[in-house]
Amino acid sequence: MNYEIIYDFLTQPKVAIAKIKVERPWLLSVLVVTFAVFTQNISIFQFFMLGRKDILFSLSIYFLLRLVLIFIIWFFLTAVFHSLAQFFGGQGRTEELFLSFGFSFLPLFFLLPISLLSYFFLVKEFLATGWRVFLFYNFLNFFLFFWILRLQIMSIKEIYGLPLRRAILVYFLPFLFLIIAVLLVGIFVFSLIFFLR
Amino acid sequence: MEKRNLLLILIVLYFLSLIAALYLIFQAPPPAMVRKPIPTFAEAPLAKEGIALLKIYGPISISRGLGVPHGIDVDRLVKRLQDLREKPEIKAVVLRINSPGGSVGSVQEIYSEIKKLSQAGKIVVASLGDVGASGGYYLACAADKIVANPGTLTGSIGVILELPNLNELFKKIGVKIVTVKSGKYKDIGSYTRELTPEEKEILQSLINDAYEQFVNSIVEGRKIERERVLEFADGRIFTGTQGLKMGLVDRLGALEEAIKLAADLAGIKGKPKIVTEIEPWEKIMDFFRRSSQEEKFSLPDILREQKVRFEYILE
Repeated sequence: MNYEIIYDFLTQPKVAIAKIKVERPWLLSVLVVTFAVFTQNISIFQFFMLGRKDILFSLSIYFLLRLVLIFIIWFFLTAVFHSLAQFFGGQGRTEELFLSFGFSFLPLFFLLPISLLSYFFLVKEFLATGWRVFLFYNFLNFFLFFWILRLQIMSIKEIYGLPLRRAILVYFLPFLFLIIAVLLVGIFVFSLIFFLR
Repeated sequence: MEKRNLLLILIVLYFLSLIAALYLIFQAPPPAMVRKPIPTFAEAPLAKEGIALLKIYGPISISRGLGVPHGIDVDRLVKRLQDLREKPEIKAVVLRINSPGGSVGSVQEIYSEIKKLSQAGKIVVASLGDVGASGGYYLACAADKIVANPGTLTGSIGVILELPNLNELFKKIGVKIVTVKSGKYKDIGSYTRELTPEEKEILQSLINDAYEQFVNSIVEGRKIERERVLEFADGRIFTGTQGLKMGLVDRLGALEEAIKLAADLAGIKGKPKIVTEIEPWEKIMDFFRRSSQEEKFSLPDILREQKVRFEYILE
């Protein structure tokens, strides 16, 4: 297994994607996703679940459920992006995009040391109250989220040979459709409630 | 080689962080991190027992004809009260009453169901909204306690019977109604003629009887002397504040106070689970039912729908 792909994906994503196209590191990609989900779970528990009595059981169940969900979403999104990329004139393989997306979860590994540092160096009382913890946790996730976004858009761009703007369009189009669908459903439900009042 | 070393360092750091995080999770948190219990009523943990909240809004009548287009569905309300009686987890019922009253029969039907609730061991608290008068107040008398806002309109203790008389109108437009009847008083209250003194006496006796029933319910429910009740049971209205002074109301407050009172009387600790009465499916069916009703403006339709009003109602 070529572990250097991990380092390259974080520092030189283009080089790493080129290697992924050639080597097809399935096992490494799946391991990265599994550990990334595990890391995220640990950091969530560290912020929100300290002191629980059934913590081992909760952690296990939560991790397994999230892992299954992430795999399903990973597979589904790859299929959607592949279709859209081809629709916009790109040429590439689903398998390569799938593996590259797996590596795009790598920034989540940094959640763990950041969570630990925040626990030890920031005001603990500040972290003790509910909504503040939630805000702070999401603030930390914010930067990692953009990093992951960048890696995924770059994956689409490099694998399908699309210009950057088109790659961005391919990435955001499904979410835009989802937002429009949710808005339409919301308007329908709201108008139904309005007439039922 | 350098890349490999850097990667190795990152992996080692990651696993050390993982061990530290796991250690943190599985150990008890330091005292500063433990959340203090929140004592207020609004944020206390939910209790298992529940309080049912039943809304009685609008005029009360079994038939929802032209007279009461937006009245409450009496049969559904009675059914709901019967269901609540069977639920052991419901310890108390709060009746949110915002009604000027309604037809005598309907009011008494609901009243008797509320009494059965009390007999089944449930605490019943009536919370009067804008208006809890006449028949609305009649229902509240069946409750263990009555809570009203200071400005709630209550009272209007009495019965009204209104009969339309279109005799003069028919004369003007040249309409004649012919009545063939089996008994002398069969067409009592007919809109085609004046009431005779005997008929008036008969109807007055109905009114007096219904009025007695109303007064008795107040005497029984509110534990007020009959003579005292008769002093103010002449149809006048009161505010909640005036009602409190006269013993018609137990406490001044809004719905939340009524719920708290019900929880205290029922011995429910913590924040009670509030159970409301309307199922989403019934709301949707109501929507379709309302939209299918047509407004009728023709004279024959009005005459056909015209009925004798015999009501505990605030006019």
